[in-house]
Amino acid sequence: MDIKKLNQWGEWCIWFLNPLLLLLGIYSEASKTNNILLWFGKLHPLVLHFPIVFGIGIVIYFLFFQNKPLEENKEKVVLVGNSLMASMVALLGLFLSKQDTYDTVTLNLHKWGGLSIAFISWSFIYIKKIPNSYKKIIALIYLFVLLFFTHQGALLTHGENALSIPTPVVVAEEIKTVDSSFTVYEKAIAPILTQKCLSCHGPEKVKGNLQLQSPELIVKGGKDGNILNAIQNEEALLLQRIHLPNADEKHMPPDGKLQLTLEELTLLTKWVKAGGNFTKKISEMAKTDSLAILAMAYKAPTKAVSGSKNTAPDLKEYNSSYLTVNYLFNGSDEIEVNFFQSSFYKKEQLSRLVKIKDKIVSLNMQGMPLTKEDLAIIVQFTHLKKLNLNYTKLSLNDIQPLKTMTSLKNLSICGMELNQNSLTKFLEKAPFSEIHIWNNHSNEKEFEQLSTNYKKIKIIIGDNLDAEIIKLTSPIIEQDSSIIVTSLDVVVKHFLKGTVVRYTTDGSDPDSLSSPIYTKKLHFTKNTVLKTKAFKPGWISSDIAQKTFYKSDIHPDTIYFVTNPDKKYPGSGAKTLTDYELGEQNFSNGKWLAYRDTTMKFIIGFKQTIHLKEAHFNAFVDNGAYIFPILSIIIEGSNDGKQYKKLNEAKFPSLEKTDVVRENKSFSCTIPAGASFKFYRFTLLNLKKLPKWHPGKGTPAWIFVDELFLN
Amino acid sequence: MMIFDASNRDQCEAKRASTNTPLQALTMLNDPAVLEASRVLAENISLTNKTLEDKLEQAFETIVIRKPSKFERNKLMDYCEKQVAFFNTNAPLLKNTLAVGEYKHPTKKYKEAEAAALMKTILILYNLEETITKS
Amino acid sequence: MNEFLEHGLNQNRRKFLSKLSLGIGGLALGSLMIPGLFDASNEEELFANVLPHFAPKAKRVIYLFQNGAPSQLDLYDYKPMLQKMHGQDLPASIRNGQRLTGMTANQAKFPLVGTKFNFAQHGTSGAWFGETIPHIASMSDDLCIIRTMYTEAINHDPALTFFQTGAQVGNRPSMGSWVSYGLGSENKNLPAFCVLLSKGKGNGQGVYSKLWNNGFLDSIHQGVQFSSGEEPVKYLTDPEFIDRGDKRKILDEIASLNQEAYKNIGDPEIVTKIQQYELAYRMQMAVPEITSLQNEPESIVKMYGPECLAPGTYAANCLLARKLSENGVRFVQLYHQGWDSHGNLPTELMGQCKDVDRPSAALIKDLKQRGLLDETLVIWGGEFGRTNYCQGALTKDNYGRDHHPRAFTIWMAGGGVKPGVYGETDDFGYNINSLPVHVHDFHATVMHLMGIDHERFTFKHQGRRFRLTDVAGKVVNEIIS
Repeated sequence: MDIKKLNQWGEWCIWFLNPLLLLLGIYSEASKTNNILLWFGKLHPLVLHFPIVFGIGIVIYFLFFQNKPLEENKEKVVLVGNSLMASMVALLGLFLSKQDTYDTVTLNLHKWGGLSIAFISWSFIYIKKIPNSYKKIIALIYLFVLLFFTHQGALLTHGENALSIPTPVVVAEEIKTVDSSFTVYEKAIAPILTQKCLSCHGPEKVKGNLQLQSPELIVKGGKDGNILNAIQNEEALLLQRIHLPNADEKHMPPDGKLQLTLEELTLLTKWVKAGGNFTKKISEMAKTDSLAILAMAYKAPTKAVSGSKNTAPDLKEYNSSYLTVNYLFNGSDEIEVNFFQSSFYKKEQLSRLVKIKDKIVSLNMQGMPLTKEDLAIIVQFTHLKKLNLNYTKLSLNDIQPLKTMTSLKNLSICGMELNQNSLTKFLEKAPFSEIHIWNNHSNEKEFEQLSTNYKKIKIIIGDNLDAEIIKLTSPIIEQDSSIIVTSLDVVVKHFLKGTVVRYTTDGSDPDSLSSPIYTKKLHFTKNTVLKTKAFKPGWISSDIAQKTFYKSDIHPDTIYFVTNPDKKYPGSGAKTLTDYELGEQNFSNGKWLAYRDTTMKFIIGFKQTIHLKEAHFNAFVDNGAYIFPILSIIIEGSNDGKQYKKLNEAKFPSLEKTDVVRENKSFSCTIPAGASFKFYRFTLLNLKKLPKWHPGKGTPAWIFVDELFLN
Repeated sequence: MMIFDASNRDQCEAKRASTNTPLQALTMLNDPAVLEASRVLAENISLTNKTLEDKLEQAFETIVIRKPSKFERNKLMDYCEKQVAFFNTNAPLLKNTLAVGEYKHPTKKYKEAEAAALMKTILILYNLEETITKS
Repeated sequence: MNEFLEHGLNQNRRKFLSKLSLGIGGLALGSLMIPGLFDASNEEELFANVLPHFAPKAKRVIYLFQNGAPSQLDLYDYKPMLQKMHGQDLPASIRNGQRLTGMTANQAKFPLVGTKFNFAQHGTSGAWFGETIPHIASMSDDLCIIRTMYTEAINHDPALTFFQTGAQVGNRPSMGSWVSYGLGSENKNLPAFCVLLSKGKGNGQGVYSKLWNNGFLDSIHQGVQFSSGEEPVKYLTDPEFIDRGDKRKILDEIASLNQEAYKNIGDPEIVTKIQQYELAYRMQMAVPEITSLQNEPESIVKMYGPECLAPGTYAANCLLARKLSENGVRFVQLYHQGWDSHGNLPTELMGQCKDVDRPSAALIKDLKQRGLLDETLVIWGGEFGRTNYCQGALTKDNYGRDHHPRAFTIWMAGGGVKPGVYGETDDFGYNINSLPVHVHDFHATVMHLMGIDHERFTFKHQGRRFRLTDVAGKVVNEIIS
């Protein structure tokens, strides 16, 4: 094979290998290898020396021999060979990294260093023609990368002191038994520091210039000086940092790292406050010394937990659709239990929890149909702190055994029948610190004495408003339509049980004595004002709810405007008035006709002469929106459509300054008996100048009309 | 349609938000309109002179707009046949089932038990993810 | 590529491309060795074991959203200075050139308005309350009042969206969805996130389903909106010809067919659909018991006010919220519309307070007497505040206020918050003097109360990890007990 062919093959291999390298490098944690590849990984330490030697050779060549270059093809063989080897070594290294657990920081450095060596080696092949000075710079960078990052690799395999001058190493003896001949520092403090602090303040990383692996270094302190001694009324720096709130930037260990447990926090605090002694043995301390007790009891975790994995036993088997059993939070071994949906409650679900009884701290059984046997199970949960027995059908007598549960602090027994005497007896020698006893008819006065008797127990009685008298809501008139064509059924209801609804249909206000009581739906055939009011003992009777129903049995054959409504509110033309559709509370929904600058005038016509008794207009009034009541209605009659005769005029009061109105209102005008006409002309006057007190004073008021009822 | 988070037309909605709540499941299973629709479709298909399997396939194609796979065909056929057998022995329930909705029953005669069984199968088809969600 | 360089590198496009094809081969080989490379992220399961990050103070949230922005100056933030300077122009030094809405930016004058209502101090903290909310005021000792909330948006929709989702544009998951995603449902028979709407008498602003949307989270975390009619959940009852066993069979058929579709297509939404059908099935049993308000004793009815029996009212929703929360719903979100008083504020405010005052206070009392307040966080507040100057004409006893995002008041109760008053605004109630709380901070704090570290609680979507608090937010430790 000639040398050119060889180069080409080599180049192809590199172009195949390097993208693969990059991909595996980026996703090194996610990638999977098999045993054969792992075995290849072992070759990494063997082969790696080739590219180092080659690499250094190439650097020397680039630095010093550019004036006497090799023949082009030979040079390329060297460069391609070097690149190929560098890539191979890097690849094998990636395989090797899967095999063992190395220190991740060093490993990462080494990985990216190795990859960059491969890539710089690769680039050498293609920089033949660039100026020599550039080549020299690249070569120097290469040399640095090569030496520095391969050294990282050496650290991984040969340990921290791979290339440093050997010094005698003192090996700390492993502590195997609980022995009071150890110092507090050896027994507790050093393990805590090792597990929670050394990853940043140790031999590998020295953040804040602080190292904590030995007593000397601890005493030496960091960049802010001594960490153990209190300075000028302030706590020692170590204590300050570990007691800051988690979210504080200076809190130690930083947010996201494994945090100190409460026990560890106490230990560190007490130890520092006791002077931070490194030599005092536990046996030399008083038996009652809390630091000594804590230190003796402290067990360093065998292996650092990786922070987020929950190692406590899985609780799946206890959970069901009607029962949730969970740890309080990730990493906690305290369990809370919630029962739901009383109709599916089974005693077995509760008794199964006995297996984890020592871990249950909170139990919610609200509404479950419990019996004494259930309670006997609950009493076994001796670590229970909070228990919810609201509405469980148990009696105060049934729950007597709860008093033996010394850790039970918070008990809720809402809905349970009790009185001052029975509760006094129950609270005698009870361990609780808070008890919720609300029920329908408890009141504070009854238990006032109790609260003073048991000062240590917070008795929450809750509010009972039996004494307070408040107003009922108005009845609800369930009929959307207010137009009676032939007849109309109206249903009235009230949501509160035991409420009596009385009504009138003659326009008078309902009262609690003489007005009829609503029992079944009402049947209307003529104009009716329905007024309803709700009454109930112990309550203030409601406001009146009223609705007017209009008989509208006459429908005009034609209807047309003399003056057109305002352009913004044209409705659907003149027929809007007789379409039996009301515009409701929203005046811009297209169901309303509105006038402001002109006076509303329109004519209705019939094929036959007809006698009208009455005309009702449904209008909207909202003084905030400049919509005022109709000022007056004038009705004129005619038989030829030319000569009109005034029949009647009805006038209506305007609004006062104090009025706040936003509602539908009806305006009616009667017509004296006697004459019949084919045509009727209606004129509706609006207020031409708003009064002085109104924000829009001087400008005309709007009128909004949506329906005309005739009979 | 508000249950399905259709636009309330206050604003233009260029793209419907994808939505999926238990309330929608309840509507698709229990709304009388859906039940009536499945009843009427079942009756109409029952009027044709086909085997039960072909009727089922027609229903499937009408609703899902593709031919059923072998798995689907077997599964649905199995359910439908069991329902036919069930309705054959339970006349009052059969009457009750076909009484859903106001739409008129066909005037021609058809196999009622088959229609009722088909109706419940169609209800299943209406509730497939593929039927409800455009994706 | 210029020719010089091309020559220098001894390389050209054809050579490069031909070699690159080898590289692609290398990549292909590599991808075989990384099994999860092209899979969608599976963070859901990851979180199941990790949350809550630490011991939660609150297990559940009831958020009483006052939609439209209630006027803090007429309810909580008492400013005698405004009454003294009633009618005078807002000093430019106070406004400091800050932007206003299009509704008042063109006003020639910005006359200050002192509140029309009397204020009094309540409780041990001596917090001020307006006379329109006597019941809320009576709960003063349980309330943690934050006077120094501020937000970035100045109009309803973006501000509301910001409060609910942590971003002003839509399409992000709602707070409740995040909580549902992180902590799941306590009661497997009810959705973890429920939404209740009510309308007030005042000027209303719309609420849209995007506010309780799951965004990029799985749609099982979407807020379930209860209807405001007499049946909060429609179609709960099975048709009479389908009994429970029958229904079970139908569901199994649907599930197995959907499962088959999932096997073929792989859309995770199909799995969600199956889950939602299961939830619907269980809700049929659970919901009627919980939503029936008729069986509440009369003393409870009195406490919430008799309106609480009329479906769709704020009072009824408060009562329903208590019942849902008590039954393990993680996040109950109420919206009460009608606070947007640009004009006619005194009248509208009185109407709104009449609806809201008694039930809000009752909810706290009721949770407290049942022993649930310590684990339930109640939040009351709008999307921003209202200006200290008048919008429209100022008369002796009528005025309006525009939107004011720079300082406003919300309060929380229960769930591990420390009662008291936090933060202080200037004498004009316009700017914040001390201890500002941004919306992101508020979110971070609520998450913290629920045992979640907001910075570690992320969801990877379109190549980026998202948080409720985006890249900001600091836990307000001072209000945590």
